[in-house]
Amino acid sequence: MTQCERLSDRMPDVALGRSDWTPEEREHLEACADCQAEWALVRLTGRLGAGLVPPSDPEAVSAAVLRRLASYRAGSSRRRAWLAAGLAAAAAVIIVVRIPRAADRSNPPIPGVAVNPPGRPSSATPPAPSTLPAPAVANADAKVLPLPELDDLQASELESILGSLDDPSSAAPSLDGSGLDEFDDHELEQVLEAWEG
Amino acid sequence: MSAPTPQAAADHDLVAAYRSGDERAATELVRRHAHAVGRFLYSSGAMPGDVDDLVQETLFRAFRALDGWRREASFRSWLFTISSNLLKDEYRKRKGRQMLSIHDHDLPDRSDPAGDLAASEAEQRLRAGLSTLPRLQREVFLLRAQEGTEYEQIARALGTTPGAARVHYHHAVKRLKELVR
Repeated sequence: MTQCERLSDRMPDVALGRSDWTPEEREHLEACADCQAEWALVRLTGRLGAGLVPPSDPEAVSAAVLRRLASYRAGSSRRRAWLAAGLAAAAAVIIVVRIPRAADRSNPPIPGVAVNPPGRPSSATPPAPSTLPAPAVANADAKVLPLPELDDLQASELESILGSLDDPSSAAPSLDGSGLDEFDDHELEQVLEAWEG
Repeated sequence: MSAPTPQAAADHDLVAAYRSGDERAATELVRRHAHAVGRFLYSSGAMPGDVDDLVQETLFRAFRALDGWRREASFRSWLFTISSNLLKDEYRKRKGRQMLSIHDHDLPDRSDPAGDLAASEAEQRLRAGLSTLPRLQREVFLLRAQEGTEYEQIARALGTTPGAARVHYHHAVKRLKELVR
């Protein structure tokens, strides 16, 4: 290591008053224009911004920061709660719309529980009894099965509906929201924005 | 054994105390580091009139993400990296406009009001020069020249090696020293 490099390494400490030049270093500095230029730069950098006024009341600054933090965290909790409620509502809509359609695709109607659109008469001839134990909740034209009609379904049909709710391939998202904890606030904001359109 | 007074405690003790609910520890961290963060921001090109707000924003981001401080670097170095990210965000937000104050007329009270005009001009040239450096070079240079941080610490704070930090420092010196002659 050259004398210039040694001085260069020591300059910040000397400029900050943590150390002092040795007589040999001082002698080199007086003779070396390159080191003098670097020394001037380091001293100037050490003074840069020294005229900025330090916070006269750190307690006030810290109180302001902590107030913002408290408000941020409260807002964050509210956003999470709204997000969870929004996802639950969206999931409920999906369940109501999708389940009858899925059931239509895989099951023939069951006599007596089919729901027809208004103004459309029921079939005059009753369909043949189904050999499938699947829970038909609506016929091909049905839109939404009113919840009270669930009362008319048999236990095996209700089981089947529950099974379709638990099916991981179901379009309905999980309602427990536990995965949200892995999101940071920015990601949660994005999810919320996407959901709100 | 009694708990250390805030003034005597190390930064990591204060952070732990704050996380346990001691707000005095937060105040002590602010007292220790706010001015240095302000100088770092100013030296990195922040407008003097914006420095206070940027310091507060830096502290807010830091306290919000204390889990992110892994103690590999000093708390102050970590604050500087947050400040630097903040400046980058601000620069983008303003699309590069008016981040660097070329004139110091709005610098708050100086300790030496009759300060040397030549020194003031040199400061302006230096700030302008610093703003043209690549970010890593500027951060290494300021941590070393303004704070006296060792290369090992700088490397840990900025995710580089001590050898690379030394090279960045010398590149910065080479580019800047012509400006202050």
